[in-house]
Amino acid sequence: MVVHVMCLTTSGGLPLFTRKRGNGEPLPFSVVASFNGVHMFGKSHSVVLRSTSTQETVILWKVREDSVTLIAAACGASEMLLDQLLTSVFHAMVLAVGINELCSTRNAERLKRELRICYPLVDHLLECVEATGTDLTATCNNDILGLVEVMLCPENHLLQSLVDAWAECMDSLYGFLLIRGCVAVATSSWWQLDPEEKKLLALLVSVKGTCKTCDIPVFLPCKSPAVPFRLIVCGLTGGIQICALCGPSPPLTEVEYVSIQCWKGAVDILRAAERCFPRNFPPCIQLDSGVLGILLVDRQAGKFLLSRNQCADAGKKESQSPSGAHRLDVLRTFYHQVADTFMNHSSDNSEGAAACEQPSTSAALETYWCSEYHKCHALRHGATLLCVLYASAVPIHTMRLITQRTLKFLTADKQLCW
Amino acid sequence: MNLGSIVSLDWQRSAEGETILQHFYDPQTTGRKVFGVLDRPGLPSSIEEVSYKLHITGRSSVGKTATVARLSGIKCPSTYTETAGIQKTNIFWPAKIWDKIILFKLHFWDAGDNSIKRFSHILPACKDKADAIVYVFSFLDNNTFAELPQQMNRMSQTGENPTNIVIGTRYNPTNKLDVSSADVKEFELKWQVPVLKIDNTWSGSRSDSEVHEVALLLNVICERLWMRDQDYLLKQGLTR
Ligand SMILES: Nc1nc2c(ncn2[C@@H]2O[C@H](COP(=O)(O)OP(=O)(O)OP(=O)(O)O)[C@@H](O)[C@H]2O)c(=O)[nH]1
Ligand SMILES: [Mg+2]
Repeated sequence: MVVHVMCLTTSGGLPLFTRKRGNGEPLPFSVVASFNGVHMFGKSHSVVLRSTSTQETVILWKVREDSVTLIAAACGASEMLLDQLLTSVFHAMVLAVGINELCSTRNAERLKRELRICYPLVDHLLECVEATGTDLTATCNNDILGLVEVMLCPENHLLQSLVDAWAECMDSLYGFLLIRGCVAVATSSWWQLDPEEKKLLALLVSVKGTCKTCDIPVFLPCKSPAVPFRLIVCGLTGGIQICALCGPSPPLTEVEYVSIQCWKGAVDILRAAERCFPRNFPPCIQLDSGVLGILLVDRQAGKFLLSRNQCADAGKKESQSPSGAHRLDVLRTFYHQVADTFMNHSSDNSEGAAACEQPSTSAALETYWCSEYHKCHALRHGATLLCVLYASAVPIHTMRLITQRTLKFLTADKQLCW
Repeated sequence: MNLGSIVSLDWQRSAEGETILQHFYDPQTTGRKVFGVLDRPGLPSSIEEVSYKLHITGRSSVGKTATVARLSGIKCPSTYTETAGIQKTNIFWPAKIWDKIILFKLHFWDAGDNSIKRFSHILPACKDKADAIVYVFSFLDNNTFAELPQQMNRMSQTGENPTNIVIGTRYNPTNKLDVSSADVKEFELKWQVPVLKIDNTWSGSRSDSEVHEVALLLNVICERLWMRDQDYLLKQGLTR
């Protein structure tokens, strides 16, 4: 599987960048030019070319701000997913250089140079689509576009007050604590940001190394596309980073000093919280051994929790059940292909292909999949959706009971701050 | 300049040095430990700790970020990614000065050169109260070497009088170097600044030998910082 993203200026068709992920040849320039050409041809005849597909490849076009044209081409990905990808890629571009820079494409060469800075972020977004990469065993990527990954540590209620206090010292409303790239807790204003913004900010921090202190200018695609904030990151210990969006003050030296003062008494709590990884929910919540993995999603808050049930691993031999990474991939595919499509009830007002095809009122509450090796079951409760991967031996009616119970365990506990 | 007159340049290879260095390795990865702001190497508290701010500067893609990563023992990806904003790395380094072990905490302030040009607050933040400016050039690009004097003049216009250090990247004898060693010698003499050489490529398995490959650079950097402090104290004494 391979996914390509191209970006050109809308007026002149000058290529700004092309990125790809997965194994496949890079697209030759002539192909990129024809993709753009056919789109322009349509435009000159008042036809908007949205997407097309061949047997294995889907191609999607998107023009933003009448100034940049984005094109995605991928095999094995749905149109809906590519639509989301291009939205996120555009937001990543705004985040890096700001909307004004993107709208004034007169100096295309300069813009091209400036956009280099968003490559790491764009590449990561491509990886969210290109899941089954070349090296499944290595950094298996089980990320979901437009949603930020969270971790439900037993320590979260303690960490919450620490983050709130620290953010106040930073003179910031928007503070968040990342553990191994997952948001453990954040201030309430941070949760009010657009899901895309939360996603990109968390991604930006996690593509950097962990033990650094950073001061990165960022434009917020929805909230502040023209005026940059400072994204402040402070690596506390291990894989733990405390982050905030700040104005001109405090200076970075002070950030580090104050962070040490605020967090030095909490080292043990932080270390304990990090031990929750990679299960990502507390060991005290025991799931049925038939549960191989879970994916908990809140579209409204823009967050998800992904975990494989490790106690199920303990008893059995790995060879019997799909490997951990593979399991998460099955769950994610189930989410994309079934749960997200039929059960997404949020009144998505974007011009996304999916939103106009499915009237939002008829969203389903429950669905399942059965295959030779496993079963998947999804249950929606309000904005929260739980997808569970089961061993194939688990009967369908039992699945339902377990999913209901699991959903309650994970979302009702105030200490976990779901 | 006689390097190594204050800091013992090969102490890390001695039995005592090796023992101390054990605190800087990660037992799980056998690579070097990375320290967050709440961490400190587990050395006896009797060992004195000194802290310095270094601003690393040079043209975009010359190798600033790669150099800091290499000095801190982190493998950095070979594909270039421009640094966004400021990225500050704290490197702990034990050095032997006369007969005393001193723990240096080196705060490396690295900023992407294009970010510096776009956002006005970045350069002042990096330069503010810096104890040292580390100029980076590439041995494969003579232009980056030729513009050092100009850069040094521009930087030294602040009042704080940081010490200067120069590092040349891509120094690999198998490369055909674009900067001659005679030019480097001449530069060192004229400016009284050591020119350090580094190769940031990471060849295969590097475990503890990695430390010894960068030990010389770190020792020289520590020595320059230490000397600057001594000079400063001396001057304070005279004017009092
Ligand atoms: N072969 C070789 N490549 C190097 C060396 N040092 C750096 N590079 C490569 O040069 C490229 C640029 O290095 P960076 O350290 O990212 O450049 P930078 O100076 O931080 O650039 P900005 O962040 O844009 O200011 C990277 O692809 C590095 O891998 C070296 O000593 N040898
Ligand atoms: Mg850099």
